[in-house]
Amino acid sequence: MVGWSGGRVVNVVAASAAAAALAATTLTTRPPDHPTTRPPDHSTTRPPNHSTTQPPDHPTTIGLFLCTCHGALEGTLDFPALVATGKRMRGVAYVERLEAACEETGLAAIERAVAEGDLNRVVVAGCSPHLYADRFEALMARLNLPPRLLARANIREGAAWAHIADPAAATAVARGVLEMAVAGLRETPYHPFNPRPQETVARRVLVLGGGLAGMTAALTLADLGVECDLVEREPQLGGNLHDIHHTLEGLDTQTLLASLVERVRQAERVHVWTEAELVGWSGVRGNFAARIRVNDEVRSERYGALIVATGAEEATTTEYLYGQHPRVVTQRELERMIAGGRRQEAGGKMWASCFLPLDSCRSVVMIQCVGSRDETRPYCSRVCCAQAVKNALALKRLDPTIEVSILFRDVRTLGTQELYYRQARRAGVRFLRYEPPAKPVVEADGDRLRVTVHDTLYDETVTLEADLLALSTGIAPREDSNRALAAMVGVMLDEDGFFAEAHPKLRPTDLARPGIFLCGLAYGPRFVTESIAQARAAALRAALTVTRPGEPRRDVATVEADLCSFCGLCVAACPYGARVLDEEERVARVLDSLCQGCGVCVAVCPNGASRQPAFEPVQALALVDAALIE
Amino acid sequence: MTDFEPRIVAFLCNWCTYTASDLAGTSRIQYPPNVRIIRLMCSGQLDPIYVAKAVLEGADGVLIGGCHPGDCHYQSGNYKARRRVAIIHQVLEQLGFDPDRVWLRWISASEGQYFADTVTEMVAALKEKGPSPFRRQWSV
Repeated sequence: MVGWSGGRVVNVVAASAAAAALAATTLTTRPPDHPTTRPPDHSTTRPPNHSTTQPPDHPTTIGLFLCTCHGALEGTLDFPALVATGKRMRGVAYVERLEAACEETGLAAIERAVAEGDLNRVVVAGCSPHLYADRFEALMARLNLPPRLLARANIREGAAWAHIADPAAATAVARGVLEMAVAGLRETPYHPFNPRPQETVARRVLVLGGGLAGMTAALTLADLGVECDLVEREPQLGGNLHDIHHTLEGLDTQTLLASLVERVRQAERVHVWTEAELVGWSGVRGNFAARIRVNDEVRSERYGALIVATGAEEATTTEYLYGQHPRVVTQRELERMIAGGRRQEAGGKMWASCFLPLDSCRSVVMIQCVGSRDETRPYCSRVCCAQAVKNALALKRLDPTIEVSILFRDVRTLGTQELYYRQARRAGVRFLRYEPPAKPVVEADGDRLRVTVHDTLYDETVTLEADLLALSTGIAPREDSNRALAAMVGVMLDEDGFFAEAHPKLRPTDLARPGIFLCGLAYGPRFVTESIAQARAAALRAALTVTRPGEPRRDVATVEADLCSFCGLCVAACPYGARVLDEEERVARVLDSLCQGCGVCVAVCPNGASRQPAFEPVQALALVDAALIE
Repeated sequence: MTDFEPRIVAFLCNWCTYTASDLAGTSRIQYPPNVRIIRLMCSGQLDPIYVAKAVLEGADGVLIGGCHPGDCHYQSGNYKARRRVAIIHQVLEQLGFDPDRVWLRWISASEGQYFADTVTEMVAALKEKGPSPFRRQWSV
């Protein structure tokens, strides 16, 4: 799918690459116990804490690692004395002096010592804890120890450097810093006080919009083993795909549509709600609460992620006698006429002009860029040049004697579509270039039309007699509903009224709010194949969100239910709204995903029910004690 | 009293004042070695009991450092710290402990010099005041 398929913009490439990666993964066989082949469940539990793997009476064995920062601290700090002091500290089982704890050799030395000495707590004495935090956290993960059991003793910025002029004082401060780190760690229980009920992630995705993109995303999710609800506003699935009969390259989109609808209806994991609408949205990635109106009834559902595939529509116009003369149609209406004016069953929009007999048309004129690339709609709709070439070629195939003239501003047949443009020229399609403000003039001539245009390439004014005028009006966002939806789910629209991606090059399927993804025409004008690729990419991103929850965080606050008196002080104190009162259980609860770990709730709790496993009050008191050792 | 070295326990918020102390070290700005630093995520994390513990254990001074008003990394933690310190001052006064031994200072991450100056100033002020009465009581 990636390969050479013509020149492409970066976001399309990124989306197709993700879709290709997805396609590649589905080729490999999945073992029966693979998460994607397991029967679907609505929630997934995070992996248990490391702590449950160790017996509760595990003795405290602290490894103390003194880093000389490549010898830089040796001039100020008396390392032999510090090593000797460290060895005398209660709980310390092992002391080692390292050249550079933060480098591969140092990290490996710590890893080896912990494994060999069966150490279960680590003090790294060296630079500020603000530096290399990720390396040491990764080290703890490798050691299968919770990050709470790592302490960083700041003997560089806090001791050696701050007292560089007085080595004796610096060493004394460093000794104090070590005492404190060891004492704090000694008081850190191996198990968190009360293994918190792990936050669950709703393993279910909401797909908004049942068009090509929405259906493709839903089916991809189902293939990945993720349940999804497909919500469509109209009574039937398909959206804009009903009006596309084939692509420029010859793909039969009506067969595609029929098979998609069939597969969506058959898919066990896809639940389709038509004539339904999202009316409420709250929560965070992994745990969204949605309210959906279906048949005058509002349902409350929980989702882990959202895919916005609400689409767009063919723009309408009042220019060039559209709506006044029966022989002026849009490109899409022309396409339907070519396809035989096939009546769309339930729900398809009807235009009187769709039933004009094509055989009375000897001459067809098309005007490009109608109502677009101007002040009101400055963007290029991307698909209309290809659409015009497609329809022109189709007309020529029906009857090569039909005269087709395309009045264009710039022919933007992208990439390999250029071949079809050349094919159209060879088939006798005339291309005449006009340039605003000198737009073509259309006059009614009884039953027929007269189109006058100044061809800028020949610098001549040409008058064309037309039996049919097709307007390329382009694609317009559903601005009002887009705006309402964007406000509801908390994302942005771009200046044209389409949904704005988080990053046009790096994250083309993500919306700015985590857990919300985007595909199809809601993102902007695009071709059928591009919509499919982007829908698959968005589905993959959403599936990853709900099946692979984030790492458990160490700094999140928690509540010891037995001690909580339901006073609500923590709810008032939390600046993030991460605290709620559970009226049923009469206990305060923490919304993990909102908690930032500031610890305010711990300080205000009158009962000590509010806790932060990463920083327990006993540790703070131990630190104070150690700080005041003579 | 000339050889009296006050002992200060400092509770510094991770984002501003602790970073300022780091900056002081990185810039080799020297300050007296009388302070032991305890890093809190936020000054709002300070439980008054920590201060009480430090005072009862014989600390000559307690320094609490947070972000400047309006600059709290956690939006409002420093305001909570300010209210708590006001109460701590009242309680200490009633216990006959000089509330001026407990300092609350707003020191931003870029104010390494101000951090060093604060410690220097505090050490001088505490030398003036002499040892904590609780220390005298305990070290008979």
